[in-house]
Amino acid sequence: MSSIHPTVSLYKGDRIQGVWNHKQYRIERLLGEGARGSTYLASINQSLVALKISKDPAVITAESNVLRKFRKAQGVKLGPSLLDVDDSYIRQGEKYSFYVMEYVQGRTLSEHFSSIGLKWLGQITSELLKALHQLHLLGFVFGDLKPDNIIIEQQTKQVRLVDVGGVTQIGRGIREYTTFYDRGYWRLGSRKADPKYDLFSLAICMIQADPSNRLKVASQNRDVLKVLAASQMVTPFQSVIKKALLGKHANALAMKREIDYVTKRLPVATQAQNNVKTLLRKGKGDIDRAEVISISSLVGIHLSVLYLILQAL
Amino acid sequence: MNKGTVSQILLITDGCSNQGEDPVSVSQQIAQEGITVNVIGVLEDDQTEDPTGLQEVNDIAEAGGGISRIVYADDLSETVQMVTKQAMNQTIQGYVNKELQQIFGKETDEESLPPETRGEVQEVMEELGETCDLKVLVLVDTSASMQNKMSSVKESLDDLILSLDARAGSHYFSIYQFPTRKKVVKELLDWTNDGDRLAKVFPKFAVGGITPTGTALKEAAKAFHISMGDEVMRGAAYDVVDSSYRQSL
Ligand SMILES: Nc1ncnc2c1ncn2[C@@H]1O[C@H](COP(=O)(O)OP(=O)(O)O)[C@@H](O)[C@H]1O
Ligand SMILES: [Mg+2]
Repeated sequence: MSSIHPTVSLYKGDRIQGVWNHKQYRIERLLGEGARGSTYLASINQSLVALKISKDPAVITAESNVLRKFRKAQGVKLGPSLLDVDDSYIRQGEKYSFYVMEYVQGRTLSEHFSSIGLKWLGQITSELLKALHQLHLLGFVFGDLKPDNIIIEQQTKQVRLVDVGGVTQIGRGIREYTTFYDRGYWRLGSRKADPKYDLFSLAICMIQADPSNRLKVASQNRDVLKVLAASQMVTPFQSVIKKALLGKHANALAMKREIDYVTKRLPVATQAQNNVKTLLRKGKGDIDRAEVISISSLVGIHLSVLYLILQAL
Repeated sequence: MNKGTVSQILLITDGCSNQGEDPVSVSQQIAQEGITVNVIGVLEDDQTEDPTGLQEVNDIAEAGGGISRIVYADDLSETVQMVTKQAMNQTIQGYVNKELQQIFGKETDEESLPPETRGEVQEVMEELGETCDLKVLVLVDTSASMQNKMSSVKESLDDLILSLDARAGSHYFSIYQFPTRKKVVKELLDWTNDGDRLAKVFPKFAVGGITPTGTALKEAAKAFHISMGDEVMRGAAYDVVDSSYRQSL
């Protein structure tokens, strides 16, 4: 196991047959892969499931353990539900462990960012905080919280967390994290699992909602507060985000209350204004100067009309 | 595993050894003493991901029962903490599998158990991984070619300390460099658990193309034999001068 990558390459139509529980799955397509294995969309008896397979059996055991614990906790759905855990022989006769879970159908938060409005960002964050609070009460933190692991379910529009590789018992070292969402990386705290660790990552997710954020650029000097100050799109949330980055919320519920407070007071027009801002920002980069000027003057008119309407209300 | 302590050497280098003892056989000897040897090969920005020159990186780790990774300097932080953690888990897994064999018979390891039972074994291993004591000796190649990678190395060690600090178990680390102008290997930081001391470590770089990896490994490994209060013995473990090394300068 010394220098292997734990991902397992499978192709559409491949069959995965469990040696213990004897269930057979058909691979449909890759959903994603990373440092701990590969996740595929698969089917069994006409229904779709997500199947995670890894060359490192400990990954499968650890993650299915977490999902099993979540299953026992009734109430809010934490993570996808666990359906099966097994081993399977793959083409050349190697045996790998895998687990099967509910397929959460929808788009990830990162796929939504291009069209996200402030009000909606507030609602999503609020829902996430509710789920995180449940998780924290159970004695765990999510750990690897990032837009790729947050899915907005297509049917219900519910916010769901997937990929439990980072889920860690409170008080232990975070099991799996992603650099930009890690409190330790930004030197704003330890890597020990406490509820505030998740709130920090969530704050970074919120900054990411500003398409012009400079997180990646700032990694040189590691000043995330500067990045926040420059992220104008999320201005109404700036003080909540700052508190979360500095670990100043008592718990997830306290942050949720502040998010809800701001969301409720957002002007109705914010969505439109944001689209306009995004358009302007895009204009600066993509279109030549003459066009930018004409677009921005158009937008200027648009904004003043909006302003008049708001005044009249 | 000895009295709940996992011992590791982490070698960070960017090239092949070209002098002194054979690092692969030295690594094997070190592994026999219960110390794992992990190796991270650092690539130049213009090097391909699988250069033949760094094959030795994998061979040393393999012989030392450890893990190897070949990465660009930018990825060092993520890699250093991950390799350390994975190697520790691997050591614990080996230890637990041995126990399992004593209970269930020769052929039993974690994977031959049904998935549900495996979950319980995993929890035991995680508990051990979180609470065991960990000793990591970092051996950094400071030959001239490493000079522009040193800030990344330091950053990755800071990051490693962050991860170690988050564990419940205690940890000690020490830092050695090789080669220096006059010595094969030199102690930069004695066993400590104080991450702040890292900031004061400034290695001086060697000139010339000499990389005595094997000899350096062998000498650095002696640091594990010295009990921490033992001032007299301690001097012997570092600042070793290899006569062949001097002649060739
Ligand atoms: N149960 C699921 N349903 C739908 N999509 C999923 C599910 N689990 C994971 N994914 C998608 O696959 C991606 C990769 O997941 P995974 O392999 O668990 O993590 P990583 O590669 O980040 O370590 C996730 O970011 C997510 O978008
Ligand atoms: Mg993921």
